Amino acid sequence: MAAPAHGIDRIPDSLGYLVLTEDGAVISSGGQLENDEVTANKITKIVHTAYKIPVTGDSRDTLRRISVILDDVVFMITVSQKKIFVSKRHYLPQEPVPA
Amino acid sequence: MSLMCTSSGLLFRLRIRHSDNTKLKSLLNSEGSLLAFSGFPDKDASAAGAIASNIWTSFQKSGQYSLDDGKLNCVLVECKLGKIAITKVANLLLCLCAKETVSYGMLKTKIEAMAAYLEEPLSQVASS
Amino acid sequence: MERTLEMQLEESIHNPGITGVLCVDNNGLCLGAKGSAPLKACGSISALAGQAAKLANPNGPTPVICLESEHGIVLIKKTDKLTTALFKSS
Repeated sequence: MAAPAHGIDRIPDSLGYLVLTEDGAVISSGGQLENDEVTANKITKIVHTAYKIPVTGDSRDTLRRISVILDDVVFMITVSQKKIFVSKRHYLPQEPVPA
Repeated sequence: MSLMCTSSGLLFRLRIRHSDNTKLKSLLNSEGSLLAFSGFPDKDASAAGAIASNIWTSFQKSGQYSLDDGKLNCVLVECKLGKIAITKVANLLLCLCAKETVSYGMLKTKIEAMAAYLEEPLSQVASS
Repeated sequence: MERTLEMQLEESIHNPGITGVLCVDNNGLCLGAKGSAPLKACGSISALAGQAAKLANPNGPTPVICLESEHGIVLIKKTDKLTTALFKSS
């Protein structure tokens, strides 16, 4: 892989990963998401919309991570250095602890 | 349905969903004259009715000219002291005035529910 | 007619850690809110739920979207005609 993946390709039990620019161009990809520009575009739109939602009342408290939980997979999305990092993983919900 | 043919029946239908948050509900004909209302004293209702009908007609006209679509569905207006929703039922207009605390989604859901509730009896009146 | 929704919202805000709840319709218009939910974000929440649903199988369940910052979490889920957002402090 010529383009840098910033170590996201080494995440254990990952199903696929994407590194995108701010406007959704694929910098690096692998696994199930290899060259998946359709998913890349969908995720870019999600990131741009998500940044418009204030998580807390404090405007300095900015968004750190977005997870989109589908049936048995989860897309973990984060933004760093103007790049969008996406990791697709199996979703294993923790058993709720009875109070 | 015979209930709807009397004005008291119409008033009953307008009042039935009255809650604390809506100030005024009125039914207008296409010229903006008041057919039935529940809420405010008479004078306010006829003035509000005329204004609502005017707003509706001008939006419908501009929709026809600029968007090539005369099928106006619903108009929501935010004012300083409240919110207004206007929609079409049969060949009449239904206008709902609510407090400013009522959210748009709720106001739209309410007017849609009322319109569906009044649609059938009023279209019978309109066709006869 | 909004009583039931108001009661449900009131009930959910009393859960531990919840700071606000927001219900939005499919047009992005607010249906109801309790606590410190940002009313300006109604449109974005509905849009986000719609965009995330495109990632999922159209016949399967709709996704849950989780937005995390240092001090808070937002959980968003879309159902047939309604999108619900829960604001939590962490």
